[in-house]
Amino acid sequence: MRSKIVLALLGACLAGLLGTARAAADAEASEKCLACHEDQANSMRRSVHSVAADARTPTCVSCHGPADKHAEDPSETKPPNLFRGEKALGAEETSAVCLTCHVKNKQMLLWAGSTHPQSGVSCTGCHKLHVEKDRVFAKTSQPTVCYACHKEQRVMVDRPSRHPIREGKMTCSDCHAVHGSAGPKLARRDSTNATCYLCHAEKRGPFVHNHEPVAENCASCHNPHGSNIPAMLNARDPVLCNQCHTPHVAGGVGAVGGQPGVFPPAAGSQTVPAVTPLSGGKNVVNIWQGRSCLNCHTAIHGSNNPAATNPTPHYLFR
Amino acid sequence: MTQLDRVQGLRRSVLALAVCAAFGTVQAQEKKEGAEEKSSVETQASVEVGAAGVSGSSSDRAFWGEYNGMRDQNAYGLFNLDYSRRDSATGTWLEIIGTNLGLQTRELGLLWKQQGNWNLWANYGELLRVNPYTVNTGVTGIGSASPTATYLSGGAGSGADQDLSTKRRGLGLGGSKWLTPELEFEAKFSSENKSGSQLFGIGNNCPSVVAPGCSFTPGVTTGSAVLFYPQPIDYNHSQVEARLNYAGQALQLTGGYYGSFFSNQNGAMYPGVPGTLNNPVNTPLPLGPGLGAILSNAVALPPDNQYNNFDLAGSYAFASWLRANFKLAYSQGKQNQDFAGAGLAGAPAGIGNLNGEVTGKLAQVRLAANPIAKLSLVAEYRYSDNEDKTPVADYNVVGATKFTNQTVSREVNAGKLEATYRFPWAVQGMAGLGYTSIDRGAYTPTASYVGTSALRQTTDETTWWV
Repeated sequence: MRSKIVLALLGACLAGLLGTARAAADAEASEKCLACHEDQANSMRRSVHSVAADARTPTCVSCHGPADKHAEDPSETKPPNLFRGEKALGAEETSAVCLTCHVKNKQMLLWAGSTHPQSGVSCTGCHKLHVEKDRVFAKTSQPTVCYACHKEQRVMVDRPSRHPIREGKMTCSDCHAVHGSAGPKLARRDSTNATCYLCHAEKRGPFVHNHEPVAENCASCHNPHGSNIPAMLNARDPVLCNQCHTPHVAGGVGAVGGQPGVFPPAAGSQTVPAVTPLSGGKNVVNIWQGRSCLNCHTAIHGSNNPAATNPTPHYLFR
Repeated sequence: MTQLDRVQGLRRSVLALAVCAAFGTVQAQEKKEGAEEKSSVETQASVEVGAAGVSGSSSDRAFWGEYNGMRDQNAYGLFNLDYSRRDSATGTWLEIIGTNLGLQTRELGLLWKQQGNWNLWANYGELLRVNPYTVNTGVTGIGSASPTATYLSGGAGSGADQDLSTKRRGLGLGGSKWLTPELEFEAKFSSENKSGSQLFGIGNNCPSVVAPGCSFTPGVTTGSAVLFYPQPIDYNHSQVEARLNYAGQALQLTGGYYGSFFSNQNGAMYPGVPGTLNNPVNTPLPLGPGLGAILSNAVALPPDNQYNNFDLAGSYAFASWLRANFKLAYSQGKQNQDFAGAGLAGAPAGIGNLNGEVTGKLAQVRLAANPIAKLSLVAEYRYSDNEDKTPVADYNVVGATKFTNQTVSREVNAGKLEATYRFPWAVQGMAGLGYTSIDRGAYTPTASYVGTSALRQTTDETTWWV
């Protein structure tokens, strides 16, 4: 009964505000649907698609198409627009139904040709319509929708170093504009860095001493979906740094030396080990333990220290 | 002199005892029999009240409790609420949602709207992050700009255990209004404070190539040290956005402004260095004056910065199967924090701040076609240019050699052609050709560093995929 009232209000609203015979006809046609599908209307009674006072609110036939023949013979004929089952519309046709109205949504401006439609993802691939609250709009449940396809990310967010996605404090759409974007990987802003700066603006700079990959792309060193290495690093220090930088050499012994044992024994003609606990800051202890390279190059995201006296901070010491 | 106690693995020996049942979940729904058809107002509310106990030590739940607000205590209050009031006659909604209100990760949101006409919203949120690594240290003044290291006479591990944490507290406000059926205005503002401390430190060598003069008396003042000093965090980040959206049947446009303003209450950190340090094998050694002077230098912390961005994006349907969209953007990032005001000395003569400026330009245009239902074609071109306009000056001295600061610019041209066809049985075929060209600009001799790796000046990539 309640659903009929909602639909009647909805139809009246459409007819009244738009003043079109089409809207009235749609509403009248949709009333027939309730004879069998009242449960469907009830399930979305409190959804944004059931607000009669909103002139844009659709009826059953707005989305599913005219179903007169289906009403006459439900077992033989189906409505033209089905979104589930064997006779469901394809991805493009499905989204085209939704875009009849939602093309006006500013989030959809860059949808055409973007990653999701190109990959065959339709609106109903993520959104549920016949519910009171679509789960993609809740931070706690949205990731489960994305994980249906993005299974690698589902594993990553459970790694020891991660963002608070599991706790529902962050969600996929905090960083990704899933309906289309001018940024890489559907980033919410126009670049990876600009997206990260939404929460990490202290890294933006520019600094007196910049670190080039920092300014270029945070993902050069970090995996924002999670990592087994602290600070969501792509690799553990010093290996990460050594991907660009040559390892330090102290006392003629390379930083990656020192095996076996912490300090390498005297080699060749040496009378004492070249690297000892006292031999220098670049010994294997300081390079491999703790924060590794970051023990000394601590301002790794950039230093704004202007000091032009030794030791100058341009190696990001301070 | 400090020790990092790493908690290896995720040992979840925690027993979470949610005793909501003791209080129950209270749900209320206004429902007046016989009056249902007269009133268009419907109210729905639920309140969850309870308590939770967590067993085990806080170190056992270091990873589990990193973000959930249940790291340090053994008992917590649970309080969630969900209230909504909807008037279907006017299309007006009021929603209030509170989650984790009994924890330090609480969130409270309010939404008031007339669907299709206007909306107003506000939210408040807290997020506590406790670093899963417990630090055993003799450092005092953690969280301040002047942390002081003290010599641990008992050796490594004899200091105090410290769980470093940061807390974010943020407030957001916003709203939108449909001015006409095609024109919508929206605006939002947020301000977030972040406070606490995080893993940080300093270290250096004496003498070294960058500090050849620190060895006053060879054999006495040489040495190296790596010291833990937690970085003090006291940030504010405010963001504002205003936008005008046009939604015609064939043409849609959105244009807006976004501003981001970061400030740090701590311009620099001043480490307090003791006269004696333990070496890596726990032998106490006196700290030489040369190395001590290096380690006592002020450490720069993230400077205040500002970012302004203007953008215009649009979409146009030439036909039901052919659509073009585009985005244009211009941005300006500034960083001109006063060096002296931040507590940083030693700037080149006549320079009071970096006067840093980076401008960004973006143009992207895309043509998407579906000439037949299962075939998608895309052509896209993207241009972006981040130009670092920061003036260069002699900030660096190594021995007697001077070097300037380095600017980081980047111009990217990229394009792609892609075709996708959807076969039966959920099989899809895709083929494409892409091109990316990155030009980071030519480095002048005065803008180069010694001993560090520069990214290559240009990168050109042509890619095809099937």
